[in-house]
Amino acid sequence: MSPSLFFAVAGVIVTAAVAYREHAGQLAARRSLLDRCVGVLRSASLAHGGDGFPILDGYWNGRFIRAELFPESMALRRLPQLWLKLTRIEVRTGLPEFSILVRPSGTEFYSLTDGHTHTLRPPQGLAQEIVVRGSGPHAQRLLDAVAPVLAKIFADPRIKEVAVTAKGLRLIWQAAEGQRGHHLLLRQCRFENAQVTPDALAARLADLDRLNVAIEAAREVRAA
Amino acid sequence: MTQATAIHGEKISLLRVLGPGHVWALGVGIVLVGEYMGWNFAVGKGGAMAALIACWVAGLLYTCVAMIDSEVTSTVAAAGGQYAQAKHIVGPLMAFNVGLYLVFAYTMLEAANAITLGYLVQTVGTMAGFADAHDKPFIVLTIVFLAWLNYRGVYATLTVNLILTAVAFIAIIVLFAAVKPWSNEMLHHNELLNGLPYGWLGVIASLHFGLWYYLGIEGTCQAAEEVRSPARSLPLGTMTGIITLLIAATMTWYVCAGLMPWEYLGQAITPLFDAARLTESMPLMVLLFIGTVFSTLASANGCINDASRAWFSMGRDRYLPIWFGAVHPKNRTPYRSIVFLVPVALVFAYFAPLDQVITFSILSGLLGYTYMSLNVILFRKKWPLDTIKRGYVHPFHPLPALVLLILCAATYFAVFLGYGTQLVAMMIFFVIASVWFHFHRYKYVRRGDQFTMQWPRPLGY
Repeated sequence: MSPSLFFAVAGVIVTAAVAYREHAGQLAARRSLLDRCVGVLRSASLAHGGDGFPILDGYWNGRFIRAELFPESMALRRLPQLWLKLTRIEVRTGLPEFSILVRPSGTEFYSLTDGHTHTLRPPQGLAQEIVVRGSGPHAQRLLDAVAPVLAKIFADPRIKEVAVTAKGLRLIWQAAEGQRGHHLLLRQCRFENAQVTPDALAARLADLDRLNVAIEAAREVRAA
Repeated sequence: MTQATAIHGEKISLLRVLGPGHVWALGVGIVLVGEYMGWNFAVGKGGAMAALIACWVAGLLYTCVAMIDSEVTSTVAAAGGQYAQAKHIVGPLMAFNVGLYLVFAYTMLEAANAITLGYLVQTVGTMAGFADAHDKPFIVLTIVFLAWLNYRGVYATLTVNLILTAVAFIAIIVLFAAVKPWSNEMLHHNELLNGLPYGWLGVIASLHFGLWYYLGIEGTCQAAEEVRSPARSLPLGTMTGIITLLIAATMTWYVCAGLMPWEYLGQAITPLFDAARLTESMPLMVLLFIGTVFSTLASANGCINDASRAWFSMGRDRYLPIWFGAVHPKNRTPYRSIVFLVPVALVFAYFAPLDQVITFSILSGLLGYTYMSLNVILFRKKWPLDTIKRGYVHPFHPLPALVLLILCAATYFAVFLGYGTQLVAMMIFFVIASVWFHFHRYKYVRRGDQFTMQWPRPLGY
């Protein structure tokens, strides 16, 4: 074997070994992102996807909760995002559905807003760039009734979407933003300091609680 | 670094991990591939001096691009870039065309990177004693491997340390120092420079490939999700990037023009690696080999990522069949768009020569820049300065737009001088695509969803 070929083969092997080690390190780092939040939910269980990102299931105030982290890098000229998808299961048959998405780019594959066909009037006091859609014109009344709570939720600029459906409530929250350098050079999704704190999760769960109370109040008023 | 930015009329603070210098260097890194290949075709069009003039004139063109892009991007959602701008300011037909420009510019650049990489491996293989080494398998391997990485998304990370990729930038500086530019020991400009062999017409013709130095620099300003792009960082980031590339380009030109006759340099595929070979220094050759490999790989990877996302966005907006707007349920990548664009890149990389592939990429970029000049005039007319808040207002309007338009027109003429057939073919393609969109596809577009900004009604509407 010639020296140049030897160095070429050695270079490829070393590069591959470093890449494998870093890949394993990244997967390990992802797995722990929700570890500190386990204590927030009752009967909590933590699972992990093949990409290493965690899914936390459990109960909060007697309701089933799923907290799921997922990365997204679909929009051009925007850094990758790590979203926390928080779902609260609470079946309310016949409830008018609506969802609110801020700063839409058209690439939000995870959004429930795209599934609704009827465009609603945005409530006062919410962000400038916003899309509000519902299951029909009847959803406007519910939306207006819970508008003050929504305004408080959207006061946090990291909230991306809030959805109210007959199956439950959903909230999408920005957990972290990708590192600029890694994305610019190699279009990689790397999130430093992306740990979701128990306080942050509890705050989002409290948001869902407030929204739930407002929905119930609106239903009672309507029933009366 | 803590950076204050405006959202919803309030000031919030964001933690940034990297400093501005770091961001600037990394931003330039992705465009640096233009120094490693392609630029030298400008030498073939008008001689070495013409290529240098073209490089500086192209710098002026990109200064106008940076100024215009910064104003519009600081107002329209930065995510989506020119495609989102076109949706908001002009309309669906323009957005459809801009989307196609982006896809073609990126896909052709990806093909050009694969050709360069294949040729480099073949050259090095031949030097190492493998006389039968062929470039085609490496071209295919590069495109398919990177497409697979993009298909897998976060399941398959490209985790080679950033320091390794910085080699691409450092290699040019080391080469510059190694050829002792302060002496005539290695560089022979006196003997090799021959003025303007084709006169000033050659300078205009060189403008065509002069753009290659900077193509895509405006895309290196990546916006954050939760904020409008900071008013200062957008123009500053792009301008410093252009200045850096201008310096690097001049250094590259100086080394290559002093080592190689213009007749050879004007058609070389890997000019920097060839320059390293002429120094007869093995460490330099290895350094430039690594630099070329990393810059082409990083660039090709970014191109696959961006082209597929542009195609995906067009599918989501129903400008193309919605089928392309699908996301892989596990990998969370636009897998259909990625797979669809692989054969397109392969056909061009396998069958077309490098200069023609680069020409297609430059033409697509050029169409985008032409659109930008008209777009900003429309933008100012429809929404004057006092009607919507801008993070950055570019000075001397409409001078930058007019300069950009004139330089774009000169570059079209430059392309016509050497690649008239390609120019006409590309224009015919875009006309046919526009007709198809207008008469067939437009009926599927959800018109109400196109405009998401809460802007006042445009002036005159």
